[in-house]
Amino acid sequence: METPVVETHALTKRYKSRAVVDRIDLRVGRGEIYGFLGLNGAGKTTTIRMLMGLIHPSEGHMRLFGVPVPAERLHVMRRVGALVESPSYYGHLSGWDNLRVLAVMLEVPDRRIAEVLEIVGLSIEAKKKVKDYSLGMKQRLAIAAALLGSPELLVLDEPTNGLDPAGIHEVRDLIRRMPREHGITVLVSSHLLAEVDQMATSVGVIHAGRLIFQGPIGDLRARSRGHVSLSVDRPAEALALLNGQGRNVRLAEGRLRLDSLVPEDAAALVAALVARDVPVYRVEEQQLSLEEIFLELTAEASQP
Amino acid sequence: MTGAGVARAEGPVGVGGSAGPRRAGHSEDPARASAHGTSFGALAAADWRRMRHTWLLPLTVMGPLGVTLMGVILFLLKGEWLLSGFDPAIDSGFGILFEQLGMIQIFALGLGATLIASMIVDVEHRSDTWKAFLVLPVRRWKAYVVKFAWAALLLATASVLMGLGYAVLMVWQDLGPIPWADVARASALPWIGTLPLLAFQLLVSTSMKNQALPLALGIITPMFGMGMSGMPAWLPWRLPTQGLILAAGGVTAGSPGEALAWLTVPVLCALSAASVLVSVGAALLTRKEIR
Repeated sequence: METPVVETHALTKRYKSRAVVDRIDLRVGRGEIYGFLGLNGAGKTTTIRMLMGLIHPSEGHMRLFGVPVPAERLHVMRRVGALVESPSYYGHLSGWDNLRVLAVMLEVPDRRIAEVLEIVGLSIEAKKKVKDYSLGMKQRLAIAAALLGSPELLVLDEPTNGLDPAGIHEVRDLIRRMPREHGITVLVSSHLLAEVDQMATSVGVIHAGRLIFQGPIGDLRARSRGHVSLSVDRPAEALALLNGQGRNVRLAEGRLRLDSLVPEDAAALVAALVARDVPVYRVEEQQLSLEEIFLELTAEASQP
Repeated sequence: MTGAGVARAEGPVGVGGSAGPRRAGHSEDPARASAHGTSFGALAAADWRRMRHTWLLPLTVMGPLGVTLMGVILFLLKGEWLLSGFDPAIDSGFGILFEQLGMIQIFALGLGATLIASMIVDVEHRSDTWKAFLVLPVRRWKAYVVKFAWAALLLATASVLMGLGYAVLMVWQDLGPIPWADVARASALPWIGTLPLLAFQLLVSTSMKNQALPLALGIITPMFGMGMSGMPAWLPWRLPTQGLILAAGGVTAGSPGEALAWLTVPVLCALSAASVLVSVGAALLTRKEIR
């Protein structure tokens, strides 16, 4: 089996006695875009900080490219580019000079600075002081900084936080290009299911410090498949009627819910209601929200 | 070295198709030069880049310039009184100058050490860049030692400029030939005496994000240090004054034999105290949780 790019075993971080990250087994394969999904405060950033050697784990083991970290992190950090939480930059320096500081330490030539600025589309603003950049530009500069050392693994912590829709789109596009055009494995965290859904190939879901799901994005997508919700007059009566006909319908929040997205099923339901003179006001397809998926996953996880 | 072995064994990246020329270049030896992390030289060069467009460099010039200007004012106001009965053949012109400005120089050095130590790490605090730069293959203790070295170098530059300031004042007031050996001691000994204070301030400034306390501490404690004669002589706040006394002693004694006594107890004390404090600071940064 190929060595995973990122691998953790029973990784735990405790503050006082509270486990912020609780026995996590992360596995990111080569060439993947791994979406690390969780609500704010679920433990994403803490996990990433441990992987990057910024904070010390309370327990557990980590490997990057098969190399144990933080013990031998100097051997691998040259191959990793990271953006940890909010972008950090020297406001008194230009975008170019900011990258220059890092380039000197990574011993990469100035040519590479121009390259990464080009990749993130900041070539024109390179000479401007970063404190005059927009948030989106700062974020892109931070991504450029992460790309500077030509990493094989790119770790991006909430890279679209605080961006406007156009900025989000750009960053997402950028991330999707990484494995294809540069052979880079990406670990990207987010609190938005839709965002992960649009770029990730694999996903790990963290909730209250526990990794409650890990696998191909398709598997999670299957779980998050929605339902059809019908708003009708006299819902209780309608429910009795439909259940009487042997149709699998539930009542939720005053609406009828059909756990099937097959168009014919919904059509048949509406036809049955209309036939009995039950007014149908609205038929909607509803996706499970991230919270609902979490609830579902945590409910499963806590089952014996 | 197992890590490097594993890293090499994996070789070039195959996933994702075309792997461009720069990737090919990069995978020659992924573990290249990484066993020790970024070198001192590269760290120092990076710090130099960070320092530009900050107040660090102007401050280094402004300190000695300020003390020299105070000397100018002093001579304009009471020059006649200071030089009454001055005989270049007998008296040391530099001795008179140093007697007047030495204490101000020490005070400026303490203040300068405080400001430099604070500013050189506040560049990282303020911009939240510790995390961005410590995720690189950088050994934290090296990064810390380099920051101290820069701070010490800036303070040394200020001290050299102070020596030039003394020389300028001597020429202006026609105080006789410049005794360069004495001037060198007057520059170097207070500087060496201030190194422990610098190391202490760097430690405090690094360990907290808000610089109000480190600054307050660094401004108030040296003032008390001047009157701490009852306290142990190796305390960082007492050593600058001892450096001053040592330098002044050489000046007043005026004998060439005494002027060569560099490796004295206060100097050794200062160098050891600075080394210990830098080591402690480096260890603290190494253990620090960067959030």
